[in-house]
Amino acid sequence: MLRAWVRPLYAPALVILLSQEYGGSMDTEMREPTFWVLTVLAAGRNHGYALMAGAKELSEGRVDLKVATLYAALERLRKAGLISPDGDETVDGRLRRYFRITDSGIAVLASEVQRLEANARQARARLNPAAFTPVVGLS
Amino acid sequence: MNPGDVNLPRTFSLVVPTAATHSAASVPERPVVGADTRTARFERLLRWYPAEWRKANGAAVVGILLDQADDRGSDRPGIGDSLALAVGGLRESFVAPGRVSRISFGSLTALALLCAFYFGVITWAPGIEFAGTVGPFTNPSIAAGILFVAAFAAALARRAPVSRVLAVVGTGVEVAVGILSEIYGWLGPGWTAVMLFVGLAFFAAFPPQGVRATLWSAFGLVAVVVLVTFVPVVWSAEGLRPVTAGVGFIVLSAITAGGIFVDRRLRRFRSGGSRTA
Repeated sequence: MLRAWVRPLYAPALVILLSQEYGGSMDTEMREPTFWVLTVLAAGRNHGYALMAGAKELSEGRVDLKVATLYAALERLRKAGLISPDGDETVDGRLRRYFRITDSGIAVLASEVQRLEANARQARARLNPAAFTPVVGLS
Repeated sequence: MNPGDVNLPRTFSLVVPTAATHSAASVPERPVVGADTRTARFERLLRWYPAEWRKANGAAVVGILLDQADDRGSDRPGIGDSLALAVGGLRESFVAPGRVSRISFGSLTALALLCAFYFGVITWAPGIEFAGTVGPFTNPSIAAGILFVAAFAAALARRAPVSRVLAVVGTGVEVAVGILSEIYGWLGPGWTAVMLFVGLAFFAAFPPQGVRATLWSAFGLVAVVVLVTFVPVVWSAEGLRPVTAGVGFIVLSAITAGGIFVDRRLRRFRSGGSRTA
């Protein structure tokens, strides 16, 4: 009897769990679209379409952002304080919203670059056994 | 700290298109389609997004879509973009984190108070054994009530998407319980309670935009509740049917007149405000 009335609660419970998983802070790595958006903005303020084009160019075509994905990423980055809107301009009758990277964004990007470089160093050393000196505890 | 202060690898200092480099001069010639029609075609893609989001970001997103289409030499959105916008819009409507609007929060507060009254006073009857009773409650609406109270708690915890999903699921449960109650003759919930719960939960999940829409929605809910409460009662007495129709007409007219009166006052107030602004 009780189980029958508890059953309707399974779906919302699952939704809560999934949303916590999705929105949780389990990720320690920066997603690639985020990385490229911050990287493009590190060169200066820019607008949405330029961010998409820049991310595609810098990633050599791997990251082909859709506008929906871009705006979801921009919203996430804005809420995290890594970027901020930097004014709207109308060009050729079209609104362009500009964004700039914040100090926190620069710090996070620099940290991610260091992490990637450290990873790459380790991988490169193992790909070149002649120059590889095993690290104690990792060999 | 400035962007230039960071010691980034050389490969990051590529030139990307900016307003200057990506100007109208570098854009391929546009297809021969009316600009308004073309823009409207792209704007339609954003219908999946909530009105609030469209108001904040719509023009900028349409600008990007038009730029993309120009580069492709097309006057239509790509299938990939259309699908991504549909998925993104649905996600923004139902899942994306965001603050709980005042109307949602107000509706959820009213819903929580209604739950406290309905389950604490109306349906609280320990010891009664009848078809459809659940524990100390006279009908299974408590299942929806738990979801509504959880939606209110989620709103208090600023978990807007969770709150919205719980309100929607609770609405479905309440409607199902109402229908089953009608079929199996349980001790409720009556359609008045169902409509109140469902109406408030619906406003919480899909809050009307703007004062006028909110007022008309509230009037609509009151009208529906009045109808489902009084009409069946009076209609059951055959001799009173003409009276029923008359009373119903008067009540609905009064509600509509009230709505129109408030709407006109509101519009007059707003137009006066804009003149002085």
